[in-house]
Amino acid sequence: MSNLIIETINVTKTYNPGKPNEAIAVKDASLQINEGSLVVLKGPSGSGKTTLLSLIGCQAKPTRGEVIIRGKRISKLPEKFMNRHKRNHIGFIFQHFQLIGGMSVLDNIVLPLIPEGISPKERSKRADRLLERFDLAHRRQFKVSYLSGGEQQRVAIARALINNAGILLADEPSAHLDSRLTSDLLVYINQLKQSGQTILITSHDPIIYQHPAVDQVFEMKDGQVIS
Amino acid sequence: MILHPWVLGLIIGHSALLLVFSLGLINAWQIYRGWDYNSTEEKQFLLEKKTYLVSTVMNFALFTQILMLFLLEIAADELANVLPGAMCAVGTLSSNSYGFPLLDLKILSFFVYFIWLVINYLDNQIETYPLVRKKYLGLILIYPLAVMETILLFMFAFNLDPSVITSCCGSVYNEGAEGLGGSLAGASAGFILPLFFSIVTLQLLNRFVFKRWSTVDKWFGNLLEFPLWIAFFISAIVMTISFISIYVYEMLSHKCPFCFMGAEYYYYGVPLYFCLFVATATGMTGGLLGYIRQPSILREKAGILRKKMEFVSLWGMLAFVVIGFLPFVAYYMKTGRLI
Repeated sequence: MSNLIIETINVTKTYNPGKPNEAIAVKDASLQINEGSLVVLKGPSGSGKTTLLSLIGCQAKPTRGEVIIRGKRISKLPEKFMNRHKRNHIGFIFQHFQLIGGMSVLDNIVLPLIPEGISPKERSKRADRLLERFDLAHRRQFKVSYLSGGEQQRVAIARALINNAGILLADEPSAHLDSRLTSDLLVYINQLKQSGQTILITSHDPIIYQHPAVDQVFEMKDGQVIS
Repeated sequence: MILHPWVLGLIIGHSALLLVFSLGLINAWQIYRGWDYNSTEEKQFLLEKKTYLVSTVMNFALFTQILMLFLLEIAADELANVLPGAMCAVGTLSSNSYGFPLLDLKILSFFVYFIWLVINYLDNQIETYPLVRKKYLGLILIYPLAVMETILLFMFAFNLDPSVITSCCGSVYNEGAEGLGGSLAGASAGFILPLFFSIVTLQLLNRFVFKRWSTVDKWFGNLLEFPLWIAFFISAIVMTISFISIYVYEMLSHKCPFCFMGAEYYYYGVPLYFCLFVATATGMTGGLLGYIRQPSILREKAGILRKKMEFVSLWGMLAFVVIGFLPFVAYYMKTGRLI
């Protein structure tokens, strides 16, 4: 039996409310995602996918409505508890990876563990496992800016997985990848799904949302979830 | 009015803090009235955002207000140099009728603000803001204290007149003098020492006996804690003036509770008062935390904090006793007799 892991109830996000430049990015969005599933949020550019993903990923708070993750009303949490929840339960792969170019691969990967107070030894141990898994062990001490696009992508995935979060969110992960790297990415994502990870991806790329491993597709238009 | 940097500093500081407090009050009222934790509407989210900001700003404002008590003492001591007749802070504070009421009010505020800061800290430890309405109601209720403090400070500052001869500490804290200072100085050791040690014994009994027994006794212990700490504070002040001071100055006639905070007496009064204020503030707040029952997570957090406060207050009290009686012991060992 599948368990509900992510739920949004009538979530609305308005930027600059009450001002002339007010913009409603997400409007009354409701969706439910089961544990262990691979879900894609598709829609054209500006449809509110990234905003909804950032609300689920504790990157922002909704203007109204509710985001519930693992039964916890995260949209109601004070900021410090929200951040703690984010660190413990959510891994995030950003559109442009957001890696720190001047730091080594290892340092980038272990970054989310530092605020958790995990010892350097344990950090290194966890990172080594991921470096092996994503075939990056030989790049351990390389600066990220010296890596290829595909390697950077794998570093970003490893960083998202380092905190053993059960939920992986990826914002347009194939936007800047060629078709070979996109298919590599899908292999990794499929492996993660097989290992029980819940994955939510925003994408307007048919290669992603038409992939057979995808369990559910939500379509967004003008800030609303239409199907 | 004397255009002294300390006077200007106190006036500007208090005015700025009152302004911050007033803005906090407006927001506190909005939060108090509109708060509905279960709502997922925009208004509630705005209030949740607001409470984070207001609580942070008020934390800073009240902490600074607490520091202002010590700044007032330092300022009063500095101003003694320009007021004829004044030898220390006492001379400045007694130079008009607003000085001592201001100091008394600031001491009261110190404890009230401390309690609010602890409640605020506790509220910020829990995800569901369980104390938010109570703490903002508290903020609304303590606002008049800040207003009164500022008014009294203005009255005090504007009535400082360097052409008027003021009293020195020797005449204010003199057994024969009229007023509270005279009464405090006149308290005999035979009365204040047994009273002080009875209160300390009661505190220890309360801590190690009443509060370790059944629920009824614990309830009784909690009830007793707050007034006991007030009694401890008052008796400690009386004892400091009437007994401790004479062994610090080694003079029967000099009973000033301010002079020994200066360099001449190696800042003896600083650790003494520090221990007294910390012990009393943590002790009385710890007692209040004992009344928190719901929700269970709040009770649990309050319990942890309370244990820490009880620990600090107990050691603070013992440190006060040790520091307070050090001059007495030293004098006795040196001379083999009492004053």
